[in-house]
Amino acid sequence: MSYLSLFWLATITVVPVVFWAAPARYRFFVLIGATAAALAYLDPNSLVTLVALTALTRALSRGQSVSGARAALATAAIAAVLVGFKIASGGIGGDVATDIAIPLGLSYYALRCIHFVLERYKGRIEDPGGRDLISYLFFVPTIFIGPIHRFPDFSRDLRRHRWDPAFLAEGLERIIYGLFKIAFLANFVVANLMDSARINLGPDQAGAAVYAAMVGIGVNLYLQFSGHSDIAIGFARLLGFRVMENFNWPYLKTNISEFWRAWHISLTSWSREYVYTGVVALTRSPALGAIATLVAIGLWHEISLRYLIWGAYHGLAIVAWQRFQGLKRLGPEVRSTALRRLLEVLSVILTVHFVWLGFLLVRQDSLAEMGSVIVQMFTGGW
Amino acid sequence: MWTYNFLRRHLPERAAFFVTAIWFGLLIALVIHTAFEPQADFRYANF
Repeated sequence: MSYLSLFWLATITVVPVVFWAAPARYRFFVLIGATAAALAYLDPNSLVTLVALTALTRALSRGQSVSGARAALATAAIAAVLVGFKIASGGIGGDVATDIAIPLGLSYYALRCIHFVLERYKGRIEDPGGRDLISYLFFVPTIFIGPIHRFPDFSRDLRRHRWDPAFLAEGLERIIYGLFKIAFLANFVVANLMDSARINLGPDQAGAAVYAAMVGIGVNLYLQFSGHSDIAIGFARLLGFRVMENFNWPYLKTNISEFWRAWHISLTSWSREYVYTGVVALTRSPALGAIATLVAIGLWHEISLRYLIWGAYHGLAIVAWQRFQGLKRLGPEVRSTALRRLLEVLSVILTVHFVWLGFLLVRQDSLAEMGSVIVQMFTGGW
Repeated sequence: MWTYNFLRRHLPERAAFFVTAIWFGLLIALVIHTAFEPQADFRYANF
């Protein structure tokens, strides 16, 4: 799904106008109605699935408090729906040929439902009633491609709701930057120009071609994904809501740990809160927690061997980085500012290449192909 | 508006306003122009 379409241009224009024109007490109807209409138009089956998940979340999280058993049942049921669809839909390049498509936005929707149930269980959220819960889950700017925003922030904005012209300026600015990233930088500059440069490389430059493809994939992915997040955040701003940021210059980070705090922030912070803390509480091992979290993030993208490997690749890198931090303290301190700057630049280059290599590898269908692209990059000629 | 506020720190008010307007005009023109180019395949994963 892409925001770069006339359908989304019309939605982003019409929904805020109707929203602010409606009397305040009916505005939540506009939010819910807009999402339901978009889902019904794009894929009615997705609407049915998301409504069923909403009913399940509401049924198992209502009342004064939510017991551990109810929270566990709700989390298991929501996770089972997500995993079931992911397996049934086969995955890109998977061996299973299937007509079942994963419902639109389900990957994000399920995590929002689990967040709500677990926060209710921990007692951090009072029962807000069905209307606020549905408004949160059916929030049109974020339902399809995230960010996975949190209920307390949404609820606060819903309470303080009033028109401010600054929303329009901030929202439109963000949307224009998002469209610029997707249409011009990603689809035109990176995909078209870089791809044609790569194709023009000779047969004796296969290594350079693989490297160029790797850089193209890494840069394109960031521009596409952060562009879509910009549009979602801008769209939410037009409606007077502040949605959490999803990216914070991830390709300028000096190590893999920092990278994962700056890439897809709404997912990584969710995983830290609900996967990492759980695993560490059970095992008392931060290293196992990091690996389990990154593997879970990998499998959230797609349930396949290659995403499992991709998750473990990053998880092990974070563990290695943490171990290296311990060793670094034993070594001599770098006093020269120039040398420290140089090391920082080298760290950024190394980190970004490690991340890009991961993106290249996860696009291969088997372990053999992953090995083959690495061999080709180093021995195929430049 | 982030762009205007950023420029306002370095330019006089009127100049910041015009540069912001030209900058966004350019961005919108580029988006409209390139939106008709062939689209990249954004298949990050099976969402």
